[in-house]
Amino acid sequence: MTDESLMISISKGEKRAFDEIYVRYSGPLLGYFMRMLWRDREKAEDFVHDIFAKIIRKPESFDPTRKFKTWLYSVANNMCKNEYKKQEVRKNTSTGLDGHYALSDSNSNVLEEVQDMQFREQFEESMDALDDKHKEAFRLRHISGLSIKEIAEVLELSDGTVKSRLFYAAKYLAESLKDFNPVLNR
Amino acid sequence: MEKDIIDIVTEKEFIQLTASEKSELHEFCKTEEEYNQLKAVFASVSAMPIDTPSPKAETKRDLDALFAQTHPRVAPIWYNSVFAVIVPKDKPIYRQPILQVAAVALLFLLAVPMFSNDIVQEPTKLAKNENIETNDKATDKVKENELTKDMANDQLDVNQLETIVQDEESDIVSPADTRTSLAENSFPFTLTLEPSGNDRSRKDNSPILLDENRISMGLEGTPTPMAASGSVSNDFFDHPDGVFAEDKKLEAASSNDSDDRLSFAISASETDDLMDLLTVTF
Repeated sequence: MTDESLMISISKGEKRAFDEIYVRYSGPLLGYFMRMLWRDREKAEDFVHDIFAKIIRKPESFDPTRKFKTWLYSVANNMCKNEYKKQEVRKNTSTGLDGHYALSDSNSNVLEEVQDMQFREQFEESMDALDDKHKEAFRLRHISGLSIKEIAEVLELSDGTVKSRLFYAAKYLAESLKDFNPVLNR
Repeated sequence: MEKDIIDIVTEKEFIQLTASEKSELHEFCKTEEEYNQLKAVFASVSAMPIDTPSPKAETKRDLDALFAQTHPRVAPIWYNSVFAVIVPKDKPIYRQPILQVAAVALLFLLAVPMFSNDIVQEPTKLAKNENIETNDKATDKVKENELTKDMANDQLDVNQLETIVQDEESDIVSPADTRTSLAENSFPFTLTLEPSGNDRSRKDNSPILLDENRISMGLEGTPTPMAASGSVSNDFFDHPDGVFAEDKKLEAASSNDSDDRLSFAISASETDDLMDLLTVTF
């Protein structure tokens, strides 16, 4: 069942449809909010609650002609923007990457682990240096897994603008992480 | 997800790019080196493990409560009234009342033909039973008739007996009648006249007077005072079941001697009437 048909069922009061939507998107949304809101898990949980509460209370706010995923992330992105405005100061904003990510290969040697950790730290620093619009597009593409077209919908931008932002962010990261060529070229 | 330019960079080498792809990428990377740098960045970011945390159970519970509050279950009236009872959603199909009712109905339909066969066969049996009953009734009627006849006979016997008893009683009650009866029936008895005690000196032929009040009947083997007195002949003892009469005082027509007594014994076995009388009385 597609997300869109599930949303139609939710608007008719089908609890199972809501449960299915929750299973599909609660985890990714929590991760997204955590990355966008300075790794604040409690705040991220609240945001997840709020966004699903909005789905329950006003399912008609979803336009069935649109793709649900992009609609959901656009709502989530707007929630984050509002939060940014509230906070005003974003000194402690993280790069959106988990500092405690486990290494993909647990059997890798110590040198590789150190290189990966250094690369991660450098990557986070580089992401912090990026402005919000590039960072936002980059996260949606590489962390949330949205396509350029979907990002364009979420951010209400053209596809070309999204591509430009994505390549700009990638070029910036490549430049800042050029010391990690061994990692990048691995 | 449809493939975009980022996917192309991630998947393809620079030499594998088509002309259209190269023209699309020309804006962002002009050389192969720049292309490879971008490719390395995208690949590295994609390779970074991204944790997908799960929300707390509390969050889900709160949302469930909110959903129940926002969308209360309002079932249609017809469902509540009928189908909620016979087709409950929360029960497996084999426990649903509609299926159970159907099973009972099926059993009933299967059982009806068995009873119907019995009903068809019943008239034959009933006819036979009626014959038997008719025979029984005839037998009973015959028996009843016989019984009625027996009862009638018994009644007759009773009447006869009563008549006899009355006759006998009438015979017994009056000594005069007894005498008459005895005389009429000509009971064979031996009358022995012997002078008793004081009368042994009597020598004349004057008539003997029987003391009427002292005539009695004696039972079997019971010598009456008269017999004991020796005034009755020895024939009395030959008939122990006889009727014994004593002190029967008979006034002789021509004698005034009150001391003369007539004692006699009657054998009851020799007289049917007396025997019946004895039997009925005791």
